[in-house]
Amino acid sequence: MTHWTLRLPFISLRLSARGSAVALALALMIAAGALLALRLGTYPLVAGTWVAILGGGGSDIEQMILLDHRLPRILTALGAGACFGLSGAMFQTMLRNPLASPDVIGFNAGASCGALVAIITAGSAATGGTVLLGALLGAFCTAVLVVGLAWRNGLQAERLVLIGLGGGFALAALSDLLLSRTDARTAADMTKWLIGTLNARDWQDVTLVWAGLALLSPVLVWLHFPLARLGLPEDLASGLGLRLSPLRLTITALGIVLATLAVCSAGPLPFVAFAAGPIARSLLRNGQPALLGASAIGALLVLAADTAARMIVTLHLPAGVFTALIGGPVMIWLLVTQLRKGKL
Amino acid sequence: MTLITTTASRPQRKRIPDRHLWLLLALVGLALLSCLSLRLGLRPIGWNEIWASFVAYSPETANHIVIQQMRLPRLLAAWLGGAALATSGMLIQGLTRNPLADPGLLGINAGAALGVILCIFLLGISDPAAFVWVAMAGGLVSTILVFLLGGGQRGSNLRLILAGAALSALFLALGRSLLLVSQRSLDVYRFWVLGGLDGIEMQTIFALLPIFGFGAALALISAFHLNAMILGEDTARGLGLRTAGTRTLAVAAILCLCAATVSMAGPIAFVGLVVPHMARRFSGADMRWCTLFSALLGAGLLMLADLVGRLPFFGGNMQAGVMVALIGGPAFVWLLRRNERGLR
Amino acid sequence: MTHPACQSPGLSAHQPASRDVRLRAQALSVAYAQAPILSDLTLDIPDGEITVIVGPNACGKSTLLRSLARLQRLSAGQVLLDGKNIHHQRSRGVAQRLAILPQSPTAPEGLTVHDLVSRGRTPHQSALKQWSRQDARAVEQALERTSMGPLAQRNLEALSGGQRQRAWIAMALAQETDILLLDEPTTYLDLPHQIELLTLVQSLNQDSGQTVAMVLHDINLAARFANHMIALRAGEVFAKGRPEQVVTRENMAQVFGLKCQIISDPVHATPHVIPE
Repeated sequence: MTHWTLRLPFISLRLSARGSAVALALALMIAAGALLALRLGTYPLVAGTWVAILGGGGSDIEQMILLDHRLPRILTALGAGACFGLSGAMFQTMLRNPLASPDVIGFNAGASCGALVAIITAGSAATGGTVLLGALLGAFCTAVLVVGLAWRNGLQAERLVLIGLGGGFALAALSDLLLSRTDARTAADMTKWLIGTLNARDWQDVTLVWAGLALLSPVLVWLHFPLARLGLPEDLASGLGLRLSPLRLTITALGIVLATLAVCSAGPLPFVAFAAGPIARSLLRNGQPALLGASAIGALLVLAADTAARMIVTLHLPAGVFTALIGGPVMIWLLVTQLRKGKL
Repeated sequence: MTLITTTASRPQRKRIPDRHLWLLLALVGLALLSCLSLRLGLRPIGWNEIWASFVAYSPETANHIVIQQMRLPRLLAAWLGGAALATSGMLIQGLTRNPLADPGLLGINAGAALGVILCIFLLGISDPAAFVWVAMAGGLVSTILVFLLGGGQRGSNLRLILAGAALSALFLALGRSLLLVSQRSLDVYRFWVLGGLDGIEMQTIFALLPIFGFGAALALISAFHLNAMILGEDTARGLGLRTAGTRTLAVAAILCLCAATVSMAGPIAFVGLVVPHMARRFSGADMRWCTLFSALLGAGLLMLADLVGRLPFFGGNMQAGVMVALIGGPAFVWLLRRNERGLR
Repeated sequence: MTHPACQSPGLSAHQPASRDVRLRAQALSVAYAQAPILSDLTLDIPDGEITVIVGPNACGKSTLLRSLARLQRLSAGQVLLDGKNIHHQRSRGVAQRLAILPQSPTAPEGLTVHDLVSRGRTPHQSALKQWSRQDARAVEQALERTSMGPLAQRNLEALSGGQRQRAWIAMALAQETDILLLDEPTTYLDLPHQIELLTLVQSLNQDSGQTVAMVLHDINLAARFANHMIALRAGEVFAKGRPEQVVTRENMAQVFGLKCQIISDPVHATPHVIPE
């Protein structure tokens, strides 16, 4: 594999040719996808008018569709997808288990449960803000509880996974219980929320998810280095000078924050957090955690799912249905092609 | 090796009498639970009458009908379903060597669900009795697909996991989108998917009994094989086992057990994933003991969940699938915490 | 680094003065769920020599090695590296001076040999300085010394057991530490590969004066490659010293419960155990 090395006085980085090519391709795909998504829709907007609209021109309807509907929705989709992908890849790498994405080990269940409680307690007064607050609180409490219960002489990976699993199931069951206790209208609202949809996103959501990502990105860049080494056996990783418990705690906290950001802005979209990491890794094939790749794949998946949901207007399907409809075949295709090449 | 032998051998020597004690306790507990679940319900029935319904059944007595037509099938279903799910969970975790593997990973639940939905959607059938065989067929097809995509007999664990998760997600999403399109399908499907034990008929149980029996036999053989596989593949071969055959055998066992359960009671989560971990707390690492304890614990948990779900506090009809996680989740976390030595 | 003891094997019997020993355990005790595994161990790992820890199964060999590498929680006592408690030093700083290779480690899937060996540079790198010239040189050198150079781009899963073990050793070498701890590095290797690997370890010790401490199962191999041996029994040091001081009839009977004759190895003149 070809590598390029970048060396400055205080910085040295090693870039693989394949990694750079994949990164470039993914970036192009995201840009193209976003532009396509801007164009597609029931109300056609020609590409040439975008600049005019952004500059304040165009008709009121065009202004509203582009600025209040499509743009925030696309940006939210991209941000939420990136958060899901990052969170999933981080947990999978840290816990050394391809199944350990945040939706499996209970953190999404915590956010969902919190949102449900918020919807029920607020009743008719429930706004986006209350739901958001509920989800944040739910995720936070779950995280504190799971990490607290799993902590014994430091944070052990397997304990964290199993406690999260038990807690996640209990919380999901609690959500079901809550659903069955409420009236039909609230239940319908909640079900929609539980599948995950990007309908009616505004700039508030965009700010939330992108500000979160921007704030966390320096930490992510820093974490990429130790994370790449957490795949090694525990003794070896500590032998190499990594301090496992503080690292795991940081990664868990960060992973939960990312997952919560995503769940708050797009609902618990299934499959994205699970699939983004493996897809990115099998594209890159360098045994690295592929955080950047996972975030790009996650963003692409959610964008594609949401665009599909918008396109098929007559059916009113939420985006949560399409993440697996699109992500599933991609993953199967990768498995089949790799089977042929004898890889993996 | 030194550390492991030292730490494992000492407590285990003390534990062997424990294991028999636990077994006895489990059996007594199961017997008690069985009696209770015949007696309790929306209206409690006296012991005399329960006894009479067995020895001198009269179709005119309402209570006899309740016992023989409703509570007994329910009890048997809980026994069979719980034991089957937990056993297959044990097998899949042993096979993939992944503590997060769930029998649903082979796509059985998702396949069964899609089968039922297609059956309602395309054929317009809404008779639950017909669903048994449709679900079975769906589970069979998707499991074979997962097994082949996962590389067949010689595939790696990672491949199997990825293939299973991708295919399950895809099938679930397909099913869900069909449901969102057709209100009529949703109305029928809604009740099937909740995973309840009510309304199961004696005929169904008898019809499925051979499949359960065959699955149990396969499970016992593959538990024995997996036990040898823990010692390493070479040792297993030295003991005269075909490791590739073991994979097929275990998958076949899981398929029989889970497909029978899902077609009888709908998809029930939690039991297959978490009960094996609970069983391991009592049984130690031996796969055969583990399988035994898993089966007993699974049966007990499902029965308890069904019983509690019937209590007036939960409205008298809370689904067993929900109650299982609600009771089992905290119990599991408590078990993990109680265990001084953590996860060895 | 250039300790006189490592330059001429004849001097290796000489025990270094205890104050300049870099790695030492003091009154070390480890207990697991109230069961004592190591009790009140005090020992030195002599600089620039090959120390081999032997003992029957479950005597605490691996626990001792892990304790020396600060991977084990101690219930009493301390491990001193360069005169300071190893648990009170920065983990990264320790990793720049001491490397440990656990028993039969497993790598994440899809890693190449070069990737794996590069991971050994972790304590010398940071999120900003990920690949300095020094890193590249150390990895090249480690690959070369273990003759893994031609296999550098191979996937780890595609290697044989012996090659894989060499790759792990190369990773520990790339760490460029003065002290190297190995836990049963010969597990799963056939005899020629065991010899090859131990010869490699010996040459590392002789060429660059690296201090090596390892756990070995095979007494005869241990006696042949060690300058210094420690025999453990039930968590206590039963005997230590030169191989011919440790590998004696009485000690073998006491430590392993093994009745045997000791002859002198006709090739290397080290003690050789013949079980009766």
